[in-house]
Amino acid sequence: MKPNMEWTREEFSAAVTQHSRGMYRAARSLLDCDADAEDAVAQAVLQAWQSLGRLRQPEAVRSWLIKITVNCAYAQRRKQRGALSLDELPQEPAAPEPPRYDGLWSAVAALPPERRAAVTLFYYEDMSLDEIARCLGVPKGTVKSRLARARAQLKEILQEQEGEYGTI
Amino acid sequence: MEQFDHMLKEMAGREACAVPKDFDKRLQDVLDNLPSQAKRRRLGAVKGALVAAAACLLLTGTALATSPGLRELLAQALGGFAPYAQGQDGQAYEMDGLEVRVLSAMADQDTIRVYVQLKDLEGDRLSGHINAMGLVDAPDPPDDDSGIRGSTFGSQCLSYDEETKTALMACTTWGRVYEDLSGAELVLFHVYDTQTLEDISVDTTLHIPLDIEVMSSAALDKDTELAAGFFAETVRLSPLGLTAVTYGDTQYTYLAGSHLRLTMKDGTDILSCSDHVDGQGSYGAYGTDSSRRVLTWNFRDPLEVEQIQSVTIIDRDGGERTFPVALP
Repeated sequence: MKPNMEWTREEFSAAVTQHSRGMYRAARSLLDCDADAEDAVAQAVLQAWQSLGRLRQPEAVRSWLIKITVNCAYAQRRKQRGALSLDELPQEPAAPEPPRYDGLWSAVAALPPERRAAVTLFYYEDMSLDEIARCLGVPKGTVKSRLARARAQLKEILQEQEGEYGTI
Repeated sequence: MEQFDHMLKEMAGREACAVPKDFDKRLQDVLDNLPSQAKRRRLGAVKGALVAAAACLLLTGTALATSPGLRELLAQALGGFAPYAQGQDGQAYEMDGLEVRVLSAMADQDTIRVYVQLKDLEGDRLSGHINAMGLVDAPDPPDDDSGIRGSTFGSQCLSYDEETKTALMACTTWGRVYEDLSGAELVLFHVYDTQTLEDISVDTTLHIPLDIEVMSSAALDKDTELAAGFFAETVRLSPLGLTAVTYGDTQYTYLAGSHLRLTMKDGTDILSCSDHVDGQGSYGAYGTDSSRRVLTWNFRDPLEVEQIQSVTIIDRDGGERTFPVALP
């Protein structure tokens, strides 16, 4: 892995492409729809490109890209809610976006956002508790606590799924 | 639970990440159109013009080490909460080459917010993307029968001045209920860059005494119904925010991520959004008492509690539930 200042545009693009699924999944765990998650990924790519000089450990590029994506997802959420005027509040309850498919991800989608994010980074991205704590900006104990509660919820949801769909 | 954990890992490993149609093509478009790399800009410039002298606030005991720019930024960060901010002594502490000063603080029974200045004495390690880990520690209340034992801490970098290598952060704790913060301390033990994930300070734990008077909160009737069938054990209101102590995890899960709409007696509506640790509105879940969870929504601007007529909770699905604010 080359030092960051020697990365070419092509090398950066290759790194982003390699980790694009992880970035998208991290964003989607924090945002309520595919389009917003994709916007957050695009913003993260731009920010990562402009901050490439700050990446001091090139081997940590995956965690770095995901962390920037998480920041962009949070910013996206704040922007949406800050811009929401009272007139724009839905008069009818908005139909929640249906889960894309059965299985673990649809169960994860039912969790509160901060637990979704912890679960996504731990189980899907195989990040350590320390990495997740830094990514989400919370203490390691908080990550453990969120994962513990998420597991209990996931167990219930998956057991219900098993009842509906047979053995997972 | 280990077997279940293993199962979750396997399931996650088997699932392909479904992305929107043509996601890869659009991503490639973004990559193909990357601009030439720009120089890093001052975060202050990115955030826009600073509020000028009209908003500059003199903070008791804090002026010595704070640059004029950061005083203005602190005033901007405090905004309408400036009258509630209590200046701290601003004494300098050091952790791993960082100078740390507590400038200002405010608290109600459920939220403690501390504004901290960090300056790099040794190099250029700070940025607008730093995060700090810690807690606000205070002696246990003598008659605490709340059953709530945990707390949540969050920090946010409000601004960074490249010239002076100085950052302004807001550190907030939610959870434990305090009517008296005598003997409280801000404890900081880890500062890192959230983009590079690089540790800036990790070897030192700072204990900085705080001098904060807790502003009083008004408690609503017990067992306020927050949503259909969901009751709060307690709801408290202060100019800083609204806190609900709920029974158990299910209700917390239901309410997490919800907004508040506060209807004032003069007919105006104020929307308070919920987002963890961003200064616009926050909530946390804490407590080792398994039967309780605590959620706090912090207001963007201070509100006169006596002027609030009702509160509407708008959940994640857009469902609404309104309860009146009837103060004892």
